Amino acid sequence: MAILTPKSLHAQHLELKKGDHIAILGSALGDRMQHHGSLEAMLVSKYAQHDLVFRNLAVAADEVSTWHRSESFGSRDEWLAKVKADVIFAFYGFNESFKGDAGLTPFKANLDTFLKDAKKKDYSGKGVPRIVLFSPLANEKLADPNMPDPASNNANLAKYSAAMLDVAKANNVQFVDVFAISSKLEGKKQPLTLNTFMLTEAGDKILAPEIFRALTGETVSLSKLEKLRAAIKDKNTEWHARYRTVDGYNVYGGRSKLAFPVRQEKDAPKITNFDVMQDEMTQRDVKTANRDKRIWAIAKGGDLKVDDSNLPAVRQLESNRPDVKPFLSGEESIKHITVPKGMKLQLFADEKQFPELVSPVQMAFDTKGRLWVAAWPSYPELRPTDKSFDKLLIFEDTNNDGKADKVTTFLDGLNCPTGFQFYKDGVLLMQAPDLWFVRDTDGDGKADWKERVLMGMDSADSHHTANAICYEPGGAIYLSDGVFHRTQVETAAGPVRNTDGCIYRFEPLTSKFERYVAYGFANPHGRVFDYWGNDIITDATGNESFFAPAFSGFLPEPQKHGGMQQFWNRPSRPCPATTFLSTRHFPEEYQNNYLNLNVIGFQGIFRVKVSPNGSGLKGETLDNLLKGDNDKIPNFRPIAADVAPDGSLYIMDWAKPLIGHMQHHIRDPNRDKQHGRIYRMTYEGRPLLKPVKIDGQSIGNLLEALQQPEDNVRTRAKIELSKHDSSKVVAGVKKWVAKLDAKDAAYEHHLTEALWVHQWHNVVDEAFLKRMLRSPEPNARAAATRVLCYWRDRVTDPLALIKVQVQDESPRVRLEAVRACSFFKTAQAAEVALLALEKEANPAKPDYYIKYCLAETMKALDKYTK
Amino acid sequence: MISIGFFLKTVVLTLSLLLVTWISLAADESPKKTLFLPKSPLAAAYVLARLSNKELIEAPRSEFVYVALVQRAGLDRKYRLEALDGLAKIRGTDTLSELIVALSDLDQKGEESIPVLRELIVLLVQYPSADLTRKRGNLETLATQSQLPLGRQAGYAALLTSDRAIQSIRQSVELDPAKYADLILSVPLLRDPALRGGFYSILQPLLTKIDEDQLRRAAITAIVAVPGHESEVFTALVTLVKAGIERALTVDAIQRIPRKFWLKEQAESLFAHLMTSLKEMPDDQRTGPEATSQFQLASDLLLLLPQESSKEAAKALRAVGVSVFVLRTVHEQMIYDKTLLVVEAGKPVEIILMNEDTMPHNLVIVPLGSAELIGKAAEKMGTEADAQGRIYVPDSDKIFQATKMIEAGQQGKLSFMAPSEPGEYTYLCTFPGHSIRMQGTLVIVKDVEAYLASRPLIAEPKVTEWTLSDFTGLLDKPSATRNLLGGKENFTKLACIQCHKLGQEGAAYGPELTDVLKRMKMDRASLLTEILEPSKIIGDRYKNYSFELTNGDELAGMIMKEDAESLTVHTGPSDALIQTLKKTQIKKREPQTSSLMPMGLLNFLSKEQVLDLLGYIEAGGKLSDQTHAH
Repeated sequence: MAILTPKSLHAQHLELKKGDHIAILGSALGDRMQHHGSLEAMLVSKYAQHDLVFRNLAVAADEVSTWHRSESFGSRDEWLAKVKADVIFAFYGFNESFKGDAGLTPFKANLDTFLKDAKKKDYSGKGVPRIVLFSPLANEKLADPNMPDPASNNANLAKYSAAMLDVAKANNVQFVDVFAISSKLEGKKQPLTLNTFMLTEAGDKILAPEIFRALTGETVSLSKLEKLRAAIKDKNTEWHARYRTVDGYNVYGGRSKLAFPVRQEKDAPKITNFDVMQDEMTQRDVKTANRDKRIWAIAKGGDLKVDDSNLPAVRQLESNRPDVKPFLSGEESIKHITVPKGMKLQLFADEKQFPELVSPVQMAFDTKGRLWVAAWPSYPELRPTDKSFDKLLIFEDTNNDGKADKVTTFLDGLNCPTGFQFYKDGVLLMQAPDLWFVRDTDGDGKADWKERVLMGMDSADSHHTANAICYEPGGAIYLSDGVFHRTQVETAAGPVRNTDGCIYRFEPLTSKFERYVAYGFANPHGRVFDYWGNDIITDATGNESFFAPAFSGFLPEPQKHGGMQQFWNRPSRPCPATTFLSTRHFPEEYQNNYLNLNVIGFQGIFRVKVSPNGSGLKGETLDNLLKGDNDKIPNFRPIAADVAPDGSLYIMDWAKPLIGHMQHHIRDPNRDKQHGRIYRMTYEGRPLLKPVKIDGQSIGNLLEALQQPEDNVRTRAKIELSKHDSSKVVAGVKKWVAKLDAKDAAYEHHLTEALWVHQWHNVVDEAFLKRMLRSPEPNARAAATRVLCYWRDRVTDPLALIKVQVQDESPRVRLEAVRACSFFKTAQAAEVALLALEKEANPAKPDYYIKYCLAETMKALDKYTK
Repeated sequence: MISIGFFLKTVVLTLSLLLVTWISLAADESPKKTLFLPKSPLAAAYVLARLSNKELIEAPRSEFVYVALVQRAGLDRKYRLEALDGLAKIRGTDTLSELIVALSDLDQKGEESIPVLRELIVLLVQYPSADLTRKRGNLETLATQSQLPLGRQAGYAALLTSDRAIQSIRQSVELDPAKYADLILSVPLLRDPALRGGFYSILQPLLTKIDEDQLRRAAITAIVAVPGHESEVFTALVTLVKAGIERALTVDAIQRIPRKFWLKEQAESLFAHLMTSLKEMPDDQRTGPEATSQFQLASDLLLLLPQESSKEAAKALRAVGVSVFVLRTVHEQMIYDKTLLVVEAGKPVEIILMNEDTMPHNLVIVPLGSAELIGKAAEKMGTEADAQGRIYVPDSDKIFQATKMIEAGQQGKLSFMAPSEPGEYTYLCTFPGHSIRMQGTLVIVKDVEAYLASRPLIAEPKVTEWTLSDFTGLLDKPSATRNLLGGKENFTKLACIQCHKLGQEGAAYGPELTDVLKRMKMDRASLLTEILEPSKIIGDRYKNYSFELTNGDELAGMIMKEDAESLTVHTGPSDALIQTLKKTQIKKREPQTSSLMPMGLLNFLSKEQVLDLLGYIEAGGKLSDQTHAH
């Protein structure tokens, strides 16, 4: 049993009064408590007659002096007043601690200001709020070698906790030393956290009783409170949907002010998004309060059925697009879609056969070859009163006739599933503001296990909430975030914040999360890697496609990369998705074309030939791959395209008359909630590819699959490999590499895949990396340079290696090296980056991307050179 | 003739100013960090190119930094001089060699370096002819091999300055029109008026040479820089305009002839001609550069028209044009070419500033009476640009309009709505040190014609390089009978007060002036000589020394006190700039031959004003004595 040190308890025990409202502020520690509910259950139970009201205002990555929220979210004070806070539980100090010793004094001052300011406030109308300060959770040493060593950060956390005690004493407020409590728990029971600092539900159950004891001096058995805890979690889910509502910019921010006529007649009064969406927020407030009542009933030993019949009405309006054209069926629509000679389009699935298939937003083939689809009928977002929800669906074609014949709902009850990606035996799924890891542990085809692995992906605008989630060849996933957002993610290396658009890089295995491309994006939806790991990023609004290696170097927040040229002169806009046509099923001239989808005006797919251009790539428009006839099928909106395991191309149709977020009222009644199609494109007369077996295959077989030219096969093989033990995988790679034929034209690519598998499993092989850095194939050297960049903290003298790459004969390699230099924290890195100039034929007119990237790298290193 | 003394002095003055900058930096408690500078020239140039002008100025000196200081646009001349000197030392050459290297580097960089090229050419033609002669080979290369016309012209200007052999150089290029045109266009770059004057007989016939367009165009541009024949040139150019020959070029050229040489008797017909031309111009060209220039010339001519017709003419002119004014800076004189702009209240107006000088200037409009305040505030500013990218524009509600700093040879524009209420504004350049001279008045009136008709012609500032002989016989009378108030005004304006104590005013940096004439045994000629030629005689106490310290620092200043262990050195015109050096710290001490006092201080004054200034000094800075005397 943990014994409390004297300093873990300051002042008297917590006294709660009847009807007290308790607001929770602070970092992920406080934020995650709402999803677990243990501490709240114990307090509600202890004060069963008090009818306590808990409202969680904590947001992962919050600091006492930060409030990184989207426009017009409301200030901390405004929210404390809204929830009528009598008592404040403040969980601060974790995100602050990364500033180390230098940050201690400002932290104490900020905390002191917070406490002193609060003493002047009366949020509840019942007087000054009572505050309890909670120090941060000690970072946990985990057995998983992929998790960081918490030692150095714990040294900081100890100092920050001590500082909190000082400030608490000086202000005579209660202090709970969570740092000391959790330090003592470590190693005694199962891990408390999933990644050193984020409590799991099980961990919360272990920690909460100790915190409760420190708070009240009493002990309570949590196991008797499961029903209460479930009711609390239900209430908190409702509150979370309200406080952290998706689409904030349209609910309370800038575009909430957009007004639309209530009726389609002259001089009709107008109604704003704000009017309607705040009505909905009020409904959520009432729903939350209805659930408080059940909590109180259970606490008192009874129960009641939650009754939401008391919800106030929401104002209604007529559509501003009354002239919506009727839909042709999926089959009929095909007649009005032009494809090149020889191409055949067929219907794979539509809403007629599968009513669940509505507003599909992302698709992906899993290792079994099944097609997963995120369906988003609630677009732009769920109503508080909706009874049917967004879903993650699995389509199967069990008889191989090219048509789906089976659908399984893997996960229901979702709101805005803007993106997903397979990971190990489950799926990473975006549910703003969090990224969930969901699994089917009992094999019934439905998800039954869930953990929030990233918290704080903002959703100020639901249609560009983190989306287009894709893998790099080395195993990190990328999340694309658009304008208006104020994303902040708490990580083991400190908070990551960004204002407006950004692409993020996330290593699910290590939990590392960072800004990848900080750029003035509107809504970047297009996200794709090619055969060699070059990525193209497309900003949807203007359909601007960029060669990403040049602008994905490090820049300290809040800096953003300067304007960069587009790699291809696009004929029109906007673009919801892109892909590479990596399949030998199609004729030679189609191989590895860049496909760029468009949904307004030109409703089809552009086909682009990609070729090297200096250190980058350039695109040239070819004949269209596909084009809808806007007169006949104006609602055809090709929103995504993916190559299937058999080499055919699947094309998803969002199938909507109204698609714009801001062009129509959020609740325009003509926003369609009934249609969605998936088409399949093949080339007549050319055989389909034999799907490579991946699911359940041995490590050896999966490595063999990495020799396939199709990008989707190799990616899915690596996803399958990630289910295997990393040491066995790496051993397998060594064997596989040894028997590869060095005369194979793709030999260096196979080796590059071997390197990427190492990276995917977070296993550094320095000797092999060095071999690849000096590969005879420039693309392989460039790819290896990228790997070196992400291994820079684990190889000997990485800068010396980069120094060689930066003077490579190939401009592509030099570009990667210049980019890599931006991640270092020394002036020496700038000196290395500048060596790229020496290789330019005309230093006065250097290669465009090298010039651009060098300028950005120098900007990143300004701190060390200026 | 420009003496080497002038050049060196500028360098030394520069050094001391620079030290002032360093010392004041040290005072604001941000110690200079070491500069990140790779060893490779390419990388170093890249890093230096990323520095702002301010960062570059503050950078610790090294070869690469000096190269950047010589070649960076928008820097004060003192840094260029310092850098040339530094390069010469590091590379074991001389400043002229380094200057030629820089000119040829800039020429290779192309058109973007033209403003800096212009600044460096001014330095080039200041070198003594003997020095230039030694570099003849390099200068010939510059004249014939440069890719930019300005680079080639620089070469010719230096060659001409070196041996003044106008005819032999002309003969060497005569058969090649392109080279000949380069030579002709080098004339405006020549510093010595006499040398420019020598070209009259060459250029004048070219004006009428009909089969040599290229040479004629060059001649039209160059001949207005030739002194001594201004009225004849005016007449010749007016003839060309009327004949429709190279009209745009010629109209521009006429406006470079000082107004006082314009001939009244030709004004009316030229005005009429320009009016016809403007009326015939298609609407879409009415605001183009050619129309603007013609419009400007026509409005300048208004002042020469007979009173009875000028009002009507002005009305007619305004009917064809828009309110566009062209304001030029005058090469090497630190003035605008006009000191009065008259604008109709409440109407849109556009002022184009064409910077034809060799240093940066801007145009800032402030309410009458605020120029001094704004000018002084600007001098205290750093070189960080404001939100609109403007430097030396104080954050003040007194700023009505302001351009960015316009580099040499570039132009800027102000477009604004004239205030609806009549009133007077001052326009000035706020580049430090310029505001006292570079001023004019912007008058807002309801009726422009009526205003002009009622106002006498504005006198232009006049530049005279005074010599002692100009004052023969005028220095015998006691100066105390002069206009002492006017003398006092110029004592302040010319910044004498910044270094010299006179009566109750001034700083004790240079020699005390209160009883200077008594010390000089009432020899007024000697006093005037000291002002005209500051380096001729320098008292021991005011001798300038340069010091090299053991820690590598360099500084310059006057020795105030010396004992066995230490020296007290005055490094600038402020008590804060007095410092004591231990002798053990000093590695090297070198006396300088030139004075810290600038030359040419009296160039803007009239003879009467010079005498008034002398009188004020003679009166010991007192005005009251004079009141008695009258």
